[in-house]
Amino acid sequence: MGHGHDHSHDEIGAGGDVPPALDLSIPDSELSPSDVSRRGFLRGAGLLGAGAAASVFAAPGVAQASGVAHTHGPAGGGTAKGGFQWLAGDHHIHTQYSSDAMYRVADQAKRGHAYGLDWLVITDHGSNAHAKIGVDKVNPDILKTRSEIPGLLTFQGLEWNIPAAEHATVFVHPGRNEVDVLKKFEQAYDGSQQPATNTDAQNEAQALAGIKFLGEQVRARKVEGALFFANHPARRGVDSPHEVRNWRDADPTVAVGMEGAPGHQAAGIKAPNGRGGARGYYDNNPSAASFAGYPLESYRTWGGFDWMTATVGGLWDSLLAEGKAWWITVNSDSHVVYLEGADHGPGSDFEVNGKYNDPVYTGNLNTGAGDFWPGYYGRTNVGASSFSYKAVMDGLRAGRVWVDHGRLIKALDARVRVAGDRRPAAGTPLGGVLSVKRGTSTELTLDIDLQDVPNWATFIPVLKRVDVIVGTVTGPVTDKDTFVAPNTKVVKSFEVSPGSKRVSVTYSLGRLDKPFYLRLRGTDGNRTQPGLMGAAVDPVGPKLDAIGDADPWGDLWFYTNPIWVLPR
Amino acid sequence: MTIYRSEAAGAFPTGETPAARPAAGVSLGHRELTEADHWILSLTPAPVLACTHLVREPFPHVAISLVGGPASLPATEEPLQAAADTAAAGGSGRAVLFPGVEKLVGTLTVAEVLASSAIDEITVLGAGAPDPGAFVETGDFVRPQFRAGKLILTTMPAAGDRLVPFESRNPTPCCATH
Repeated sequence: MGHGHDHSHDEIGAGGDVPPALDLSIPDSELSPSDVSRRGFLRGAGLLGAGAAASVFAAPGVAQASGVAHTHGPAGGGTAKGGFQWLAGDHHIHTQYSSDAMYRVADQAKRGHAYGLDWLVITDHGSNAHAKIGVDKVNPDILKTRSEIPGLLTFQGLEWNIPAAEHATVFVHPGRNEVDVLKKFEQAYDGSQQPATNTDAQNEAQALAGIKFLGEQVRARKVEGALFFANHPARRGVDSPHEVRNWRDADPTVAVGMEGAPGHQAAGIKAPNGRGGARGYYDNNPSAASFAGYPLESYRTWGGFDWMTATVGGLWDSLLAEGKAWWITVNSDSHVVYLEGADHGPGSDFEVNGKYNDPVYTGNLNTGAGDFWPGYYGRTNVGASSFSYKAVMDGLRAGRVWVDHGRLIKALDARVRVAGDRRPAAGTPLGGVLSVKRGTSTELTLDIDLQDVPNWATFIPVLKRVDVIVGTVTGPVTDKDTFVAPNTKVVKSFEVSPGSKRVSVTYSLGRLDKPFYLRLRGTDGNRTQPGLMGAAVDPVGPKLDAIGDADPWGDLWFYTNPIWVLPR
Repeated sequence: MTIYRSEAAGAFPTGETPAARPAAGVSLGHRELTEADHWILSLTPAPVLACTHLVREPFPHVAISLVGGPASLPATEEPLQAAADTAAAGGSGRAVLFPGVEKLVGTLTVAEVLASSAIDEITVLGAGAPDPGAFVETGDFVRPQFRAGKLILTTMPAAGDRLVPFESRNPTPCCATH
């Protein structure tokens, strides 16, 4: 084999005992017409070659040139260049088909669209009632929404109880098999459907089987795409680092990321006007099911973000430093909305009907609710090549994603370029990999349109600072429970002048010596403290959110996904 | 017999010599901390020191260590004996009962908490040591943890410039359906 280490090949693009359409060593000209068609479909779905998210070392020779161990898989992060249209969305929304929620699909979709979203995913909880009834019944509501709001891309998904772990968004491309695939998946792989006698190891294996099942449905052309995002990953300490790595490695065309910030961002608003709880409902403590290595800091939010993402040099960075494509998002997790006046419809029987009756207006504003409507506070902005379901899924899979809270900024275009190359169609966007000869000078070009219209709390947010975070890429870890990246830190901060309309900066990344990645973060600067890895790593990072006094509008951040620069 | 009990002995009331008393380890297979807490708080007479210990084997559950308390305890079933032994050996226990816990009600200053209980140290998550005069809203629910032989209460900033214990009595359940 010549790689000098034991490993198993990915199922696609890896040669050997795979169907001809998947074996990239066979040229198109030698395939049967049906295999050519199949390969075209797979390539179009982002599941072959460039564009599919996996190890950034997948291109031949890249790992060797980078001096790190070879990992197989399709080229990670994509090799696309240039600009995209940015579509705002939310992949974590509940309706009356969840036992702890209540709104109609249309209630959520209309609000999301009105509040500026281009796409969203309906993700009711996996459960007995949902697996048997809800997953079917919600579909006509979604189809109706698609036809009534053509300017909104409404995906059907579900919130998977990952066996042995937290929840995850799972969703598929619309199509005639969307319900069938989701239903089969839920009935076989939801945590609620597993025998109580399962061991941890059995449940962890079942989670991986579920992710693989989704990838197989795509390759069997049942659906055009399927994606997985781990939700509120650090909330209860039960998503161990090795589980996160294993999900991703089970099928990197499906398991592509996690929530960088949880929903429920209104839950920390001060009582009596608000719930007075913990931002994101992050108020748990270690349990017997938790990963014992996680510190108490991981159970709380920092500037509204999950510890895995908020910690510079932490868990997310440890994956990026491995060269693992793994992306972050933000979402509403909307169940019951703050200062909203509805309640479950009377006479509901959720277990029998798989849903609550339509909500009714009560006249009582719910100050105890912790959620916002979709699009009201957080956005996941996806760089898409067109306005379509497929383009959104492709953009998510490629990691062309940046996220913000409270509309902190209006637009962002970050690219890494060979120094001096300012062609508009050039430059490697978020999620991408720039491969250049060692010694080549590269630079970051960053253009941010600052906010000039009020957000949904009626004020115009002011960006105070932008941080450039850089980490050396050191290749696969030997301990899959690693959650630190000691070579990652903030290397540059740009203060934004008051009254600016735009931030346009160029930051030299020097001559390429070692492979690295960079990611960006910005803030209104209202609440900061040195990062958990020390002031030398992150001098002005996000601050721990106080219990019962976390005004979400007074503490705004944006984060981008990474761009890698590798020697070729 | 164990590090933490001898360390904590200094804070015990006069006449108590818990370090000289062996710790009992029990594992009844409680899945949740609340179940273990409930069992501990039902014991008569109350133990001087009772801690919970998170164990992974043979399945994730909560084992218990006790100093003092009832003369006879329910037997630990054989598959859980190793967990009970781990608990008896001490380590990073989470204290449910400890000397002075009954005084930790309402709102107290950091100094008062330290003076009136076996808690050795109070820290603030992400921030280090609090001012001795800072107020701690106990919520009548205080669960300090032994770390390196010291009984430490981790707190968090909360509304009204108060501190609250890291662990709260009623954390948000993950959701109703599983």
